[in-house]
Amino acid sequence: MSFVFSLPVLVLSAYLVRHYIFTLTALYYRSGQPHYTPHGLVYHPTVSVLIPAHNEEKVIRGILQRTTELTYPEDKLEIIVIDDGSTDRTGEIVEEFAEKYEYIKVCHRDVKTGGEGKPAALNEGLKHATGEIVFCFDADYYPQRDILEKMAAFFIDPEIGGVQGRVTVSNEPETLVTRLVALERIGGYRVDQLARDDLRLVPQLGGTVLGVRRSLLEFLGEWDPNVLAEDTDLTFRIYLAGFKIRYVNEAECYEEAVKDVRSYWCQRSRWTKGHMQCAFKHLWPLIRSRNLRLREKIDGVLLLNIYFVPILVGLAWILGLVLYSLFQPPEWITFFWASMSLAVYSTVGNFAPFFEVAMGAYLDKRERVFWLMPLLLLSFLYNILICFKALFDLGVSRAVGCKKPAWRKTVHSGTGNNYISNGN
Amino acid sequence: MLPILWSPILWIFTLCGFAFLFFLLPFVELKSPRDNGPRRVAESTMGLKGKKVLKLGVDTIRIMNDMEFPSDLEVKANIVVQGSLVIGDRCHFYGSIKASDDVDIRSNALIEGSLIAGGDVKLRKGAVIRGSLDAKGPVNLGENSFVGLSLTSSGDVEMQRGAKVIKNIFSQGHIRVTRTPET
Repeated sequence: MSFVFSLPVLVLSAYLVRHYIFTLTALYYRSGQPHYTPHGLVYHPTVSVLIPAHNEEKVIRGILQRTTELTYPEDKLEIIVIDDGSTDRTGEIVEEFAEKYEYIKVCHRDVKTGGEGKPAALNEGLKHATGEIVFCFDADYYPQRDILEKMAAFFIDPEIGGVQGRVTVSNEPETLVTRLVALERIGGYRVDQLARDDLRLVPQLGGTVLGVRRSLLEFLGEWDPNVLAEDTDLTFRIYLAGFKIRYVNEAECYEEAVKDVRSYWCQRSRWTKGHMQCAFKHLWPLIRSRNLRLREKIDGVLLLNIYFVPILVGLAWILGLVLYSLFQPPEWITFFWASMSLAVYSTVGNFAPFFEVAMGAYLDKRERVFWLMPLLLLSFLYNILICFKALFDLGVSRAVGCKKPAWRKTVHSGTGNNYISNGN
Repeated sequence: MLPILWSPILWIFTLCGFAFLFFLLPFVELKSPRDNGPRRVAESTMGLKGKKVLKLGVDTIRIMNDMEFPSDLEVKANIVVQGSLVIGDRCHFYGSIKASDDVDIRSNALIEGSLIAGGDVKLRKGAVIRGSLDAKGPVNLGENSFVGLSLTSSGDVEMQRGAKVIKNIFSQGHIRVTRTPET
């Protein structure tokens, strides 16, 4: 019995150690990972940029205008916008650009076949792509002008299957939720992804601001339309196929973060369900794979199970409370409570992720964003609910034999562009 | 000993006090934000459409017009401008800059090399030149601006509060040190 109670403490301690290792790595450690910069290279493979867009009339003009300002050689660049069954003016706006610029192409999916989710749209775009490297950007994104050079430079290494760039929230001051998302992004990219890259672990593809070899995508069988986190799924398929992924911190792109609690719930719920699907799909193949080293397997297992941690914490709290109040607690229960509280506090509630976010903000030279960090406790509590609900929904959809959970799109208002003032 | 009735009330007070202290800092920052966010993504290339540009060697660019660099640019090359030059807020230039006319360097811009100007030079608040500054016209060094080597000017040199020049100042006019009024 005491083993059952020790398990959550052990799991949380593993995540605690992981957080601290990542933070200290981002702060002090510079590995021998080769770093390719476009300045010293003349490597310009042909690239196809896929931009899936479903009812994105408020933001699509921004990214298309930006693609016309990219510094990548025009003869090696093609932009493919997938108008995914839009019922607004998205298709019309894209056609305007396609008429004006030769390298911008559009493929329309009609209302009946379109709108099934991002993976299906990307697969449609991939059919038209001719570039050696395929990049993906969401319609609300706003990349640096030379982002493609920065990311494409890494494909000079034949072992690299995918490259991920950094995402920065543009509309951070808009609401409390955008501020929290910005904090999460700082910790997630500036510390977490960077450290995983430095330590040669498992940097993850984030669904956007990513590049993948087209030949590898075709070999792997495109994006899986049945998985809600197609990015995590692709990440593990790439690693299992024996390729690596690199994270490029200086390849940056603005995003418009979700603004209200409801949109936050919908987006995180989709990510959580998708991540859990990936855990069920890839955990065992990952453990058995001969293409990954031990450290990559450990990091991969922790990454795959990360959305189960809030559930574990919630269950342990409920179980502990019930036992503590119903029965005369034996000594080991008291010990469990003490160590559980400490582990939760240190792992997911406070110290470690707080430390990670704080160090990310420090490395970004932020001044007082640290003061908002106690609010992360609220988002953690909210995430416990999201994870419970996501697991429940997945269980129900499996029980009724529904293979593909519904895709709920994040709505973008276009306000993110108001905060971008890079002199454009 | 306190009566049993008071115990839950004390608990509630304690919890409220803890919550107040815990969320005090976020509340203050949300009410009057002092953070310098959101993070600005640095741009390492320039929008030179409509400008006549010549490339000199591998690392120098000559621009044949007046030029205004927008904010937050990151430029690796040396820049030669045939005209006046404005450098936007927080720009980062890794090389040196030469302009044949006036130069205005906006706040917190950073030039790793030197600056040579054929006219007046204005360094706004917090602007930094790590190398030397050579100007044909008068030079105005804004609040907390910085010149890492010597400053040479054929006109007057005016230094605002906190401005620093690490080596010598050579001026054919007056050197004036002023104090900006507190705002």
